Amino acid sequence: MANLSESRFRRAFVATVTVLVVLVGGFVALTSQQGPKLSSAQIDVGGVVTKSNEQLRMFANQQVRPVTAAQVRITPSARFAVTTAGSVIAVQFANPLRYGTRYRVSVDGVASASDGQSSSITYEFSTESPTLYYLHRSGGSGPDQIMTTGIRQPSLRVAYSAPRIQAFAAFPHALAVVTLSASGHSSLNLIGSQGQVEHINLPGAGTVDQLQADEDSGILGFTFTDAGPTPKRAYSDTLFTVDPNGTAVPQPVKGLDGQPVSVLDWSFVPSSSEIVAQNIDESTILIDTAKANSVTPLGTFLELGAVAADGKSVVVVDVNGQLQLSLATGKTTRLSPALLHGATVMGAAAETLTTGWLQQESVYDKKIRGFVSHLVLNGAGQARELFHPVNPKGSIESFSVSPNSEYVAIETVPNVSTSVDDGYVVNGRSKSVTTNFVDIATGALVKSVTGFGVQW
Amino acid sequence: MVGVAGIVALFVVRGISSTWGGLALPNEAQDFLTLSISVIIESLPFVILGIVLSIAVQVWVPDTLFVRLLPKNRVLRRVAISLLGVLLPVCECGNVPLARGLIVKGLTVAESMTFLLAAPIVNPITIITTAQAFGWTNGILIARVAGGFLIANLIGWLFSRHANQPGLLTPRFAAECALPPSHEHGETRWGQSVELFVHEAGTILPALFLGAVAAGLVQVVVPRQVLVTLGSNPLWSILAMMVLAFIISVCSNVDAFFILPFATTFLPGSIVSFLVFGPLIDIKMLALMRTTFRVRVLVQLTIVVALASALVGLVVNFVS
Repeated sequence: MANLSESRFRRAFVATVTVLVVLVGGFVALTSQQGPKLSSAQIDVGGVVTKSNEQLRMFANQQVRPVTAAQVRITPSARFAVTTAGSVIAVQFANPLRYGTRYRVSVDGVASASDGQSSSITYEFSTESPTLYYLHRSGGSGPDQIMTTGIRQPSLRVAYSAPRIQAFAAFPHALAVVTLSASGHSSLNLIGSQGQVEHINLPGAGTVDQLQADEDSGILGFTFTDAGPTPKRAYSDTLFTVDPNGTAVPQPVKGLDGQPVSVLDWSFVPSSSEIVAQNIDESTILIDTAKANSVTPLGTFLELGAVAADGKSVVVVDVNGQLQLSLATGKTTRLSPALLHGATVMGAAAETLTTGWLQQESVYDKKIRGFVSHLVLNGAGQARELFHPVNPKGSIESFSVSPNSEYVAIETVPNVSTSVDDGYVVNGRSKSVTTNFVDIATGALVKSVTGFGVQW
Repeated sequence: MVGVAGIVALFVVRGISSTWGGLALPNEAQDFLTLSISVIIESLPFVILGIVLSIAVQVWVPDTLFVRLLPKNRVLRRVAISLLGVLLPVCECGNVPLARGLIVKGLTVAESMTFLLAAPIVNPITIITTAQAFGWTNGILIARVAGGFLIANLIGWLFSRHANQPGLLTPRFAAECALPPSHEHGETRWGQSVELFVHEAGTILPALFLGAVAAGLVQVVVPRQVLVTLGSNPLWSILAMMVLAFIISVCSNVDAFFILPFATTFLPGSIVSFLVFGPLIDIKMLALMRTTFRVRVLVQLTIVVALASALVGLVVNFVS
């Protein structure tokens, strides 16, 4: 019986081992014919439409040999660089991608680091569409409203409302809102996504202006001028920053002499911890808020214009016209627009794009005996008109380009001759101010809203 | 006593050597002590817990409870036994004394083996730590749990073909199992529990000490870099990971975090092979299982588990 038992077990053991060996051998043969496969991928589909140099990281299931740019195809096309580290293939997009677009990234000939077996890896993703915010003033018929909408969607929603909203700035999950009291003093509040209100104490009674939010750092910036007669003011257009997630106490930004700076104009530099500011003496400086005493003089200019979406340059104006100032090197390049017939350029109303720049030009119209505003796309020695007000008596007040240079939001007053001011002592606007959204590639008007101060 | 003395000696030497200053031990010796002690520190609580659960099963659970509750069909019975780890979440070190207790309580050796191999993987702590480490990436979690379950039942089926179940056990343990229950007359349950604790600890702790020493020694002798360089080859990466699991003898409750840094270097299937093979067969486990099973049984067990673990890894590499 013992021998019978032994032999039954032995047969089962041998059969089990044999089957396992055959299966192991079969799968070894099958897997050795396979090249690398995509295990997972990471991309910030929101960040990739707002920032330069965002990465798609594709994780292969094994270490791979270095991939070259020639092996990578992106549809729709986009400028990129590719790096390989171990099992990770990182495709870095040079510029922000288009909104609401499905991208397909294919990498051909991805070879295993161990045995050279190759395969193709493909990953598809859809980018986010922007959530736009703008300020709609009631004109005295009720509270002012901060509206939210999409660029291609008709839906419209009130994100926040309050009496006498002077200005606002949008973070991804909060709004910074400045309201004006009856006495003309500003009040600054942070409004959470659930409507919770956090009051931020200002340096004193006074007015806030040029409010901006930096999405990357979560920091808020503004200029502050305290109340009272000019000679006795402690702060006059003094630049402050405040970290709502930190102490929430405004701190003055210090200039070359270590003293708080008073500015004519200023802006956060995208994708960095820097601020570019024009002092009241017209000297322009670059301040790194992440480092102590890191202030770089950039020169003296008549005006400071818009910072490019990639954060590499800013438009400035000297006596001869507009310049593109590199923030890295301080070098300037003259912007020589191919003007529309009879057009002139006034001020710093220009914003550089990935290729070319947008320019506001004015053409004298004899019929109305005044200038008609035009928004023109310049580049490669050519000019293409993107927008002009329907009514020749309308005017372009300002414009701002989306972070990915896909759209431009243009603030207009439809008819200057009949325009009525809203009466706000700070950041006042025409009651009829309208914002038009234009697709830069096609020149198509995709949306118009009544309001201003668009935050992309 | 030998086991306790050995373990205490390791701690004492490690403690004193750190204060010797210029007379400090060579790096290799310090590494050996640290690695051996880490295996003991990691395993000891589970060994003690396993012994306590074993005593609970042997002394406090009614004799016929398991026999009555488990299904009569042998396949379903093994399936149910392989899920016992959900109720008795002990890592593999603690399962050895518990499996011994189950044999004493009337389970066949094959059924006890099924529990022994399934419980370290099919238990909530291991599943949670693996999920935390890998999430759903590459199906590593699913493959580990399914692989452990299937291998345990395969082993259970295979050894159930052996008609002479006591013949799979060491003569000493087989004799203990054959003792009539009457030998316990005159003792209270507490008394029996204390006696069993001393007996089981005396059997298991020397094995744990020797297993930890062997694991520490091999890790010092075989550089890990040798294994890592093999990481991207579909076959060699699996073998390398199984050898690594065999050598380092890390417990199933924490092995997912140990191997997580290797996940960027090694193929997913090789990670699964590590997570399946390690809890079932490693230096420490073999030392512990030697207290219960014959050498020939352990060799057969190791061959089947190794092949099955490699197969699970290869399948994961193929489909993931």
